[in-house]
Amino acid sequence: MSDSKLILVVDDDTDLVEMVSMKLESANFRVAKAYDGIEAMDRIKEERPALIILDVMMPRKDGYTLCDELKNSDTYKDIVIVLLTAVTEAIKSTNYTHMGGKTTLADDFIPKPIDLDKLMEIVQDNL
Amino acid sequence: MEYGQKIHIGGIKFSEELAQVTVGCKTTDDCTIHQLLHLLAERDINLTFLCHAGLSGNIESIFCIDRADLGKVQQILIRSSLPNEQVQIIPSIGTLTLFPHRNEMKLLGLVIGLFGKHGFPVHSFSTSISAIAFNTDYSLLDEITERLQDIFVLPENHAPFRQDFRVTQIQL
Repeated sequence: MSDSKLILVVDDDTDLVEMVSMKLESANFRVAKAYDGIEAMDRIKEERPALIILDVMMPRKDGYTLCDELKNSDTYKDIVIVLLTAVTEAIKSTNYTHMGGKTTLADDFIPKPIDLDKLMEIVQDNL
Repeated sequence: MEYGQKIHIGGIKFSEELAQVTVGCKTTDDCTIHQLLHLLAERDINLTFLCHAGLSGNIESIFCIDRADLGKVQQILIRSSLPNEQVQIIPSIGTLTLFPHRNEMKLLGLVIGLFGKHGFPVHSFSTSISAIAFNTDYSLLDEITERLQDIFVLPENHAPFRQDFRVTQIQL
């Protein structure tokens, strides 16, 4: 098995998951994928990633909730979490705002649309 | 992969109820799809699917809109210069998206085979870097997905097929 670090990419936008995964794999990271917060928790229990790239707005369990659960857990609090924040004040019908993102326990943030080079910098800086 | 072995996929998604509009043109010169797209954008009508295909001077553009926007789109089409015979509307379709496809042609073959075997219509389909999307009758989405599980294995705790929230863009 490779000793490269495992990164979990979580987003309900499947194209974004694939695009970020390809970029990470090209930098020799191993990648696991999940498409909502519940699935992500399954992957975390199975594979314990070193870092999670976590979307905020997802079905079933959103990124803020999962982030708070992990950071309040003795078992998982050391996993680095980078939140993806696409939500702006221009979006209605949800409870999410930029302010909400700034109050989570995540280790870092990156806005959507993602600048992949910036994302790689953040990943490298946090591992 | 052994014959008959199920393929593991990450998930299946359903769209909301949509309408599909097909606009045909003979050449790029007389094609008004660009004007039509501008008119749709001016009226804040989102396109959930857009596909252009060209063959021997014939160009076919297919797009999908929210079913609720069909009336507005029909008004635009009536006012446009497009002759009736160049426009086809399917008023109730759903997009069924499977992901990730991992560039496996076998996945495409299995799905097309299953649609053919059971007589499910494919009104259009396309791929992205992760997903393959089929537009079919909205009323058949549940039945098709049940059949798809004969050939695909989903993760135990997979994301729901239908979105449980909807993001709406508003003007500032």
